[in-house]
Amino acid sequence: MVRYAGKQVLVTGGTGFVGGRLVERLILEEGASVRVLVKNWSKAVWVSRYRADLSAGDLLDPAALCEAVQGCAVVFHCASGPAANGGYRRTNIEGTRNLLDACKASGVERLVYISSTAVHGPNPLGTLTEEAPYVLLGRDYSDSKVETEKLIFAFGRDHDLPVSVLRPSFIWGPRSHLFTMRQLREMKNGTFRYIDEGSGACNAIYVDNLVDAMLRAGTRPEAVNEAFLITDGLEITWKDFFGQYATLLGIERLPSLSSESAVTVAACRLVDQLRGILDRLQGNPAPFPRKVVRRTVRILLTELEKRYCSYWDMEKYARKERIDISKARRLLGYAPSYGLCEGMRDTLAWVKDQMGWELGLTTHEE
Amino acid sequence: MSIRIGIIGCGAIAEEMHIPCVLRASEATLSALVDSDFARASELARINGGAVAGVRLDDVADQLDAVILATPPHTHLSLVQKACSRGLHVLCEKPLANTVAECELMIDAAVKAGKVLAAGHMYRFFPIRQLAMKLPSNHNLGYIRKVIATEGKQYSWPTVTGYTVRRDMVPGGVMINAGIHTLDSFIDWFGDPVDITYEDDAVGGLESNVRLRLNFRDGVRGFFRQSRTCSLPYRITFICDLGELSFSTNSIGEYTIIKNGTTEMHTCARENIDHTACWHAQLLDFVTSIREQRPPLVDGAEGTRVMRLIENCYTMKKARSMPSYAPIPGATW
Repeated sequence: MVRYAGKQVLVTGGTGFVGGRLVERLILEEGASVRVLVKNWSKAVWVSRYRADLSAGDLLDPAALCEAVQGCAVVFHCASGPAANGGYRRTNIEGTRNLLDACKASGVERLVYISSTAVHGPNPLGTLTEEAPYVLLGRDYSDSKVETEKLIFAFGRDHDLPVSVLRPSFIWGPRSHLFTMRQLREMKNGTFRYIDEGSGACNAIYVDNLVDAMLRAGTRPEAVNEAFLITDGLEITWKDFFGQYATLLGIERLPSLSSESAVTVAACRLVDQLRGILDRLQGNPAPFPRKVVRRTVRILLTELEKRYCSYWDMEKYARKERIDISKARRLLGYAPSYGLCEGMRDTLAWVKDQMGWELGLTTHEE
Repeated sequence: MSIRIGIIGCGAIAEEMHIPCVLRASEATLSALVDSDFARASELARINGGAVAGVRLDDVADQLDAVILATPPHTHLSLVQKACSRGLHVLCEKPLANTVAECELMIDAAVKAGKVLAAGHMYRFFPIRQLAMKLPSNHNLGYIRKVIATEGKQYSWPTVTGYTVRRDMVPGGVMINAGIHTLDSFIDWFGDPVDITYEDDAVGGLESNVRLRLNFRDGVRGFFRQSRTCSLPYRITFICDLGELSFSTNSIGEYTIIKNGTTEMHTCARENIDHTACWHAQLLDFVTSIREQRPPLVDGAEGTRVMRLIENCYTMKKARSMPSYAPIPGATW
């Protein structure tokens, strides 16, 4: 059933991974008129393949937002990322406030926001449900997602704007840098490590399953003022998942780190700390002493990264808790279309096409 | 006497290439910079020797002998017609225009005005491209049987207007924007193809991935794969009877010969030739063609020829099955 035919839809973050796939399906399957907010033209090469209306502007430009939102029935808010000046908080919070104001001014019927399971922190007790409290960790990304969700729900309530929030877990599939491309590159160059032999719970979500949920959240009355955890709903481990990538590359065995080893945990924490230090030391021109420190930190970090991962990754891959998606099944009618086999089939076909040369899988003439 | 040149369009290619090139050339003077964003034109004029700044060609035409057009291609036709009507010679950035029909109107305008129209296919000024057809016989490789070209990386050109991804401004994506250089070399080397098979990934918009197979008149087969979303080697290879010759698409003169199981590196360029020198060669050819009243190396007809090939490709396009828009299994709502 097509629900967006003839509707004008705005997608923020439409040049990115999730937003880009949403744009594709809104146009090709739903027959929607899609406008994409474009902050950086060079990032629009994927989405420019479709008949989308590319609208210049970003979340920190209220005038451009008002123009982009004009005439839109539904807004999918997928944009997230560090602003040049102000990190995630500025884009996510200030940018979302600008977008909400624009939605209100032009009478948008529904706003769907892509948040993250990260709003519940890394270590929920037992099975994670939407009832779990927000957790502020002092991390720019997840804290800004918490504040943005709060802002959206409050604004929706105060201004009668129907809003819906999706909290996807680890999004994989074609174009996923964080859960597909990165691991393939790491496996290829020998830096990939399982945590605890890959025994952690893989609560990942395939990009098309997420887009299914987004499309439902954009129309279902039951979705209004609600947040939904979204995964593939599979009871698999990270070894089941990443093992498929290893098979593609012809790798039989991958090394592993133990989350119970004090030395390993300390080294992984040090990786995070050194990355933070390196971030703070960025910027040119830099005085000579800073250059020396920066170079030393970079050398140390490079050596550590050959053997260890970040503590953030360790936490993520060690957790055994499952994420409960029964609320999404009940209220959105969400039923994941893609299982692991179907998702991997399409992902690996895409990988061969787009990363085949880089990974040594195909000749350049294929 | 130095030729007074105005650069129309102050985007990335003007700032990074054309302005420095004109400033370095003794045969030309940078007399004006024009951009719809006057502040941008003024700032570039200020830091580049105090050329006159303007927002329209008409503002500065009286002070010029020639212009370099570095604006998006949908503006080329009207600007060439305007320039020629004001008595100015034109070096026009590639693609010459958005369509063959527009290219032909531009040639008409230049012919009627008696002015030079040069197409900015600057790879034609790379020594390796100019000597490529002689090198296989120099190395006893026999006849060329096949030419393979690949180029691809995540697109990152800092376009100000976004014209390279906007179908309201251009008729095509990666091929017309970047692949045009390699295609221009193909037809320069082997003539117009007699047969092509073309596929791309555009679905109502602009292509970002293409595969093109060509058959040339003398039996040489060609293959070109290009992407602005993924990494591919930037390389052109001639498969010959007795070995291979290959070079990077950015190579000025370096090339590799593979023969009898051995690989040898060679160069066909003088030591002091670099990219800057190739840009200068293009400008010098333009200026000389004005002075000597002869056609430039790449004239309007040559610029049109590669556009005709691209237009043919778009006309006979086969949609390329990209995995990312495979049908959704069991999608029910």
